[in-house]
Amino acid sequence: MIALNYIESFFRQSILSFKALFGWLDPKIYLLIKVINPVFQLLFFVLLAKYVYNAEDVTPWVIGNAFLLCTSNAIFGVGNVLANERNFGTLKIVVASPANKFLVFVGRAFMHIFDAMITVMIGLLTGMLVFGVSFSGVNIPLFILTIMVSMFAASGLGLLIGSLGLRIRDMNLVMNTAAMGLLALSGANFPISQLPAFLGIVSYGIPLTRSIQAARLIVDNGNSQLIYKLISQEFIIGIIYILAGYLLLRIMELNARKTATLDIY
Amino acid sequence: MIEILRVIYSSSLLQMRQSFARATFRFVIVIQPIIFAFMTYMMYRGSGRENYLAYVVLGTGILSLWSAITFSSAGDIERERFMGTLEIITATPSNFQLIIFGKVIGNTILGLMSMVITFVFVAIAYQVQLTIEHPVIFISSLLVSLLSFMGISMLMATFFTLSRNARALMNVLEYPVFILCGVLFPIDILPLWTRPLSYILSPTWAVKILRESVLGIENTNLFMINVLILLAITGIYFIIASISFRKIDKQTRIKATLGVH
Repeated sequence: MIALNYIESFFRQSILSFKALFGWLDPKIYLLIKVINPVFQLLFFVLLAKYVYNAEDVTPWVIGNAFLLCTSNAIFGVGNVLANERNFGTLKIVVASPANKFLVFVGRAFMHIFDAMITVMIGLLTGMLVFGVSFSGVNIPLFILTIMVSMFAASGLGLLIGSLGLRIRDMNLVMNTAAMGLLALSGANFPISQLPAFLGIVSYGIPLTRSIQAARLIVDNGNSQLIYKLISQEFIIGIIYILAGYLLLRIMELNARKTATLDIY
Repeated sequence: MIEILRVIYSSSLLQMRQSFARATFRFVIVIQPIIFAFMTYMMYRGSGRENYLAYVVLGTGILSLWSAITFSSAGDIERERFMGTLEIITATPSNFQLIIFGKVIGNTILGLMSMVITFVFVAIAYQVQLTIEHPVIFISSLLVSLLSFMGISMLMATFFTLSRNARALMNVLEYPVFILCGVLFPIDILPLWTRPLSYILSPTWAVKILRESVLGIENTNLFMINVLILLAITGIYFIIASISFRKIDKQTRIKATLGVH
């Protein structure tokens, strides 16, 4: 019974938090941010790659850049939840409530995983319609699993950034830098092997790098063992980010309790 | 005249101070150009294309300039509205257009800084030298381009005065312009039907003349025609902006919804 209550409260909170964030009352904004902007972002980077590499088949770049579109959810959506909570004046209520903090924390990212998947699909669809990318003969369930795991991992990074929101006043700087970091280091637009050694290490420490590789392998009918390995590693990366984010949240919360600075910014 | 200059000067100074105080704007001015320059350099380096530095340095420079201008000019009106000062700067005896123009100048100066940061980053990080074939023509082209970017900013400021969705709209404006204006790749690779859209956007012409003045002018007549087209389009932007400002002034007086958000 208690478990059921937990589950019910988890889903209720996830949906409420998501609804509040994107302002569903105005579908125009949703359409601009979640459909039109991602489509143009993908077109820009794929056209750039097409020109630079003189490529006929742009499938690898369509996949890479479609995965990167998740930043509007995973980074800007999830990353801002705690800062928003403080802006709305509800942060202290959340902190003081007897609810399971971990579930409340993870619940903030839950809906974004699915919403981000839709954006990635929109990106892939754009690739199919504009650049004639074909996904026939591809193991679709495995491909969808890859997208889901990568969105989970990216939302984990979002949660870690979100925890910083309790300490940092202007989250836009952090979120934008993280989004650009993913864009530059995930190997979506140029091979990771070209990166300087230390950035190569960073590249494998962030979400998306492995899932983009896995997705490209799936489309190429590559080594399935390697694909599963990459997906599992991506999942573990997601878990590490979520745990790190939660730990940071608890530390921040503890400090805020001591110094009574939870709502001060 | 002195009065006009004083309004523009104070407005642009205040704008630069306010803008630089915002972390997001510092990101657009400093971090974004560096990451974009890094990415495009990494992509172009292995491509085997000649003269790619002109694309990397100029392209990312113009890209940053555009981002600085759109992000700020589009968001400024909304910010004033949010702060509750939009009605005040509209009703003040100083001309509203001049105040906005001052803001645009402030944004352009900061955007220019961003362009310089790109140049310095590429020069230091990759130890490469960008040779400018015609330095004097390049500086003149840059000035004309900046004027044109100011025109487009004034035009956008009027559109966003009326829209309450400015923030979302300005985010959407970035990539289409990067695509249509050939900032990082030539517009020849786009479908033919997009060409009219490219041609009515002044950055297309600005990119052309800047690139030619860096790489070398092949046909002087054609270059001059491009400059004239850029000037003509810029003039049209300023005229439409001015008409729009007057319309907005009338509309807001009738509807009384300027500060409503």
